[in-house]
Amino acid sequence: MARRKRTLSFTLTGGGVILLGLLIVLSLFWVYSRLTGKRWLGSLFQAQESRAVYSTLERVDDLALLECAVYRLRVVYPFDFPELPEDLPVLMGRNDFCVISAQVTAGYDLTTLLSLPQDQNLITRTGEEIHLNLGKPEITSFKVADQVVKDKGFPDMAVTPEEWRIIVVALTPLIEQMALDHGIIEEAEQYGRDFFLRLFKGAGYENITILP
Amino acid sequence: LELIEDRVQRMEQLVTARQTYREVIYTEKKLLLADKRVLFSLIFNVEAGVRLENCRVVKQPGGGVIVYLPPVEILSIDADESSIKQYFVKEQLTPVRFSDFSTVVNEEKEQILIEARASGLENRAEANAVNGITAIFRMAQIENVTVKFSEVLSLDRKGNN
Repeated sequence: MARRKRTLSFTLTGGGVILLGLLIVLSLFWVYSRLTGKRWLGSLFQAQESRAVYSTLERVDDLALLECAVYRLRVVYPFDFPELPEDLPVLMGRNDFCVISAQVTAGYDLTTLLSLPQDQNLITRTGEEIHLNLGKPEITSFKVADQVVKDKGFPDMAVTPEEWRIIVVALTPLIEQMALDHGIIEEAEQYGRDFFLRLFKGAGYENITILP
Repeated sequence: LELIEDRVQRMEQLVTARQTYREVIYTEKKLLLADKRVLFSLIFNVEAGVRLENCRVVKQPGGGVIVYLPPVEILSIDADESSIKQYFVKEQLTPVRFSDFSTVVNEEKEQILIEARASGLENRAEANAVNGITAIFRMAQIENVTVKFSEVLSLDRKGNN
């Protein structure tokens, strides 16, 4: 009897308690694996992912957007932007970065131009002479390429959707300015004229005047 | 390696229709005690129209013109980042990373493309392209305009005079 007491005392102290606990945990995992059909140890380290998307068509717009020039670029945030707004702390000091591919287009929004009254037409004809008074083109779109980081081999930066929005909104005017500095408006004006010249020359009008 | 030229390039396209979709997206990832969840919404714009590089205008006897256009196509599907509304983020032991939501956004584009086509975006864009081209010539008092689409969408349409 005295020997049994000593053995019991040894089991309930020290490593025995840990061993017993481990056995209970393993038994529970074994039961869990039998019930769920999952590999009981693998499930511990298996990431569980789920997602749901709800989609709604909100608007349909009729347009006449003549896009004449495009400026595509790739920038590294934040390093390509040494003078960022002070209220833009996103990614700062995290040794993190992201590569952003963007494109800016310029041209003419004819949606409104086409509905102007007859006396305000931007294209008029006097006999066999066509007069173009298109005015200055404008930036018609700014798009950030939707990218999958893993495919590009760049590190997957820690950023939430809201922080991503803040970054893109802050960079939009800076990137648009880059496009302007590269002469996107002037190029769009020239390419737009080329298009209208081709259009009306094809229609048999050789005498085309472009008004400033 | 994808090369991007650091200069402005010519582009000739007429965007004639746009559909705007709002997507509400929820993602979650769990591993041991790590748990991250995000719920947000954003807008996708799908634009359709015609590329005008191969646009051809032929004068007809009697003063009219025929405009030959390539078929209407979906020109872009773009997630508008400025429209993101983040409802909540849970970051337990691990931060939310770009790929956690950008992957879903990219995959969703395929579904939106299918929906946009099924809802007749291209047909609407084609009708608007005819109206737009016709209106340009009408401004120059050229009334008899016929617009013809080549290849797949060979729906001949005559501008309303």
